[in-house]
Amino acid sequence: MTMSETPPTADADATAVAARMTGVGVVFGASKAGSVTALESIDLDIERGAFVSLIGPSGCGKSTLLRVMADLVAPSSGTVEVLGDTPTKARENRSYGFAFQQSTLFEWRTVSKNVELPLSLAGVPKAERAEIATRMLKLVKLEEFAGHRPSQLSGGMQQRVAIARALSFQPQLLLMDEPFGALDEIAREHLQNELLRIWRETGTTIVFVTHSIAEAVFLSTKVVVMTPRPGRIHRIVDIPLGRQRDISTRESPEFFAKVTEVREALHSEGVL
Amino acid sequence: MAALRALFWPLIAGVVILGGWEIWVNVADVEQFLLPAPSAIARALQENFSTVAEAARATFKSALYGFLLGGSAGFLVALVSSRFRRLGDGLTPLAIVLASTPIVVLAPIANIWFGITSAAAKIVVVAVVTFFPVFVNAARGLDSVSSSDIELMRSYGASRMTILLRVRIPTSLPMLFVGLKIAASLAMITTIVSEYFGGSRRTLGVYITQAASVVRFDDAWAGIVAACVLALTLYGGVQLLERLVAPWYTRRAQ
Amino acid sequence: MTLPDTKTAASPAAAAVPAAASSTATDASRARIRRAVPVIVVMAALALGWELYKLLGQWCDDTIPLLGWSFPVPTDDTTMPHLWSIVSALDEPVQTSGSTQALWRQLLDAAIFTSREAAIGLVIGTIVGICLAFAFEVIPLLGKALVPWILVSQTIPFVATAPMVVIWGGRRGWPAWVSVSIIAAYLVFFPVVVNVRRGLASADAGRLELMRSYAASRTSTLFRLKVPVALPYLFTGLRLAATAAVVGAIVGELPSGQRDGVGRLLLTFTSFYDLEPERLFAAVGSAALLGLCFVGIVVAAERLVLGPRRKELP
Repeated sequence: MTMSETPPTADADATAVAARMTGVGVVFGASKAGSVTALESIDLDIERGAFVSLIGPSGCGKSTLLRVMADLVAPSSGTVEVLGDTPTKARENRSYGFAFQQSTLFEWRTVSKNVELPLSLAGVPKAERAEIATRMLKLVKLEEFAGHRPSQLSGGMQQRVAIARALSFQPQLLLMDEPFGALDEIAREHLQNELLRIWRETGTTIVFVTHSIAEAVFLSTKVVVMTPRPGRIHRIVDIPLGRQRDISTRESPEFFAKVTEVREALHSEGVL
Repeated sequence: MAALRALFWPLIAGVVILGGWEIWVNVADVEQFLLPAPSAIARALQENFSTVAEAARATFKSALYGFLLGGSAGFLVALVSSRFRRLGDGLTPLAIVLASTPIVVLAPIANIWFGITSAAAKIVVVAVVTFFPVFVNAARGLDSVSSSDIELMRSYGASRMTILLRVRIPTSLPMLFVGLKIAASLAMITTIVSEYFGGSRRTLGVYITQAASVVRFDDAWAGIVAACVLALTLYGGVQLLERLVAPWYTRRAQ
Repeated sequence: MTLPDTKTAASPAAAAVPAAASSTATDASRARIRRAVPVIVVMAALALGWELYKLLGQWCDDTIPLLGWSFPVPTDDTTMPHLWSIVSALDEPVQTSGSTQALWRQLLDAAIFTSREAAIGLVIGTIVGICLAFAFEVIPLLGKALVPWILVSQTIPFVATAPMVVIWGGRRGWPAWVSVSIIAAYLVFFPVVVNVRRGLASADAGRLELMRSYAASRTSTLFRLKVPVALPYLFTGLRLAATAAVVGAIVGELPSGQRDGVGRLLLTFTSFYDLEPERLFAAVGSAALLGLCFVGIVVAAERLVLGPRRKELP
């Protein structure tokens, strides 16, 4: 993991695109009477090292889109490429990390054993697992709680452990489904800062689903605004605010301008 | 249609089990008197039908009355204990402790108090046994009413009785029926086991043990089949009642 | 910028853990005493009620004044012995074939004998129950086909087959207690199967998705997620099974014809009731205590295995 301002340069033979979706559609319950079109003709490229937020009203399919990338939902049409491979291969290679809204930690394991979970599933030897877990917990600044149980931690701390767990493979792609949704605003802002720091330090590509306009604009290099069901990409808003963002960014006129732009995009869908 | 589909695999399994049993007993030359073939049991049931039916009726009546008595007592006490919090806090751990005891051993005492051949002795034991699951589950159901629902009703100026009838009791119904189903499955067996400790000759429990003691196992099994059928009828009755009274509650699949 | 939830700040989660450690121990024991009080109070009230009922009955000759109805239970000393005479009877010598011992000794020996049958039944039934639950998890079709029959099987008064099982066992040279253990096991496996199944199915969708995202095999998901999640449910089932094991053992002993065990004592004391009514009551009390002991052991095991996870279920 490099500490740098600029995204790490791509390998010679790696693509510059972390994920690519072409004409992706998802229809649930296609054979029965009440079929639901969750997503329709999605064309989206996610560049390496980018931080892309998916935002839209409830039911716009943003979580479904994330799960299509994660091979947890199969697309009914179109093609999906993740890290140069099919989503299934990417999942089997454990090339991406996933963070949910619920921290989904295992109550019966300690914090460090929770972080080790994906590693032990992959057969990583014990000593190496422990070392990686310690490193990950240092990254999220929770190394003193390695021996604690999840029930002893606050919601925000549990989410940080979940992020550490998602990063334990040093994945090139991190998929996050409203991970801060269950937290209060103060904890959210704090974790947003932490997430940006981790993003800068690791150079991972992040795809982030959120309901919050301010969160999307603060965190991302690109905001994808989606329409309500059937979910389509309404507009993509670029956020050229640089990678070093902090409280001054939140209070800058450029930030407000971008927030307004995203809000207007949602408004023009007839949502706001 | 979905109900028929749900019955498909159990029916296949049932046919396989019964068929296998019949074949095994005949082919493997197992002592027939120990484990009679289903055909032999069916024959015994047919031959002794009136005896078995009469005994089954008497036992079922005891089971039913005991179930009704214990079930209603359980629900009433649960209502009282949810109204008077401190009483409830004291009663629930006590109920859990008492429910851990083998209550059916009260049967010999009940026989002595109410008479060995009387139905009352069995009804009392069944009532005590069925009381506990109904009480514990109904209490839990009444507790599960969310305080925000109650606050809403209070803000409408609803009286205590109205809140009870319109909010508390409907919310508690799913858990109440869980308790009633457990109680129903216990009722027949408890009656028969009480009859093992002594009872009138016209009851299933006595019929079964007597048939077994003279090594007429197919007759005994006929009685067991009758007991089974009646127990399922009682359970089915409760399930039907549940569907009528609380149809909005979709049971989680087991 | 101060971070709201690092250890240096006064975080409720981090600070509360070491500080509360010493007081939670006394709080827990105080809570336990508080819970025991109503049980003791009610037991005392019941004992008082017993004696009062007797007093009233003796005073009005077992007839309710004005209404002329008779008391539901006669209050003479044979039908309702005084509680203290039941207690004092524990010391009295009882003549069994060959030896004389105090009643309490006889009850204790019988309880130990029955508890062995119940314990074996509990172990066997639990193993069978867990295996079945796992089988249904791994082969769902098996579950769909067999679970209704398992439900039906519990309505069969299996104890009715006790004499048949005993004879069958006898022909193979088994002592009667083996058959009784089998009967106990039969009553045990049902609550275990039902609860373990429920436990295995209780893993939430989020965690299952998590395991899927790790490309975890079915076996890994089963043993690393579903089994730990099912453990609290197993103990709920075991608590029910403990009582069932004792019931199965006692009732199984009735037709088995063996001389030892609580079931036999209940029958013997019933037939001698006219002479020594206290003995039956003492035997019933010891049967109740036996059931409580078994459940107590399961609860202790639960505390040991689950520790802080005990609160996971209502």
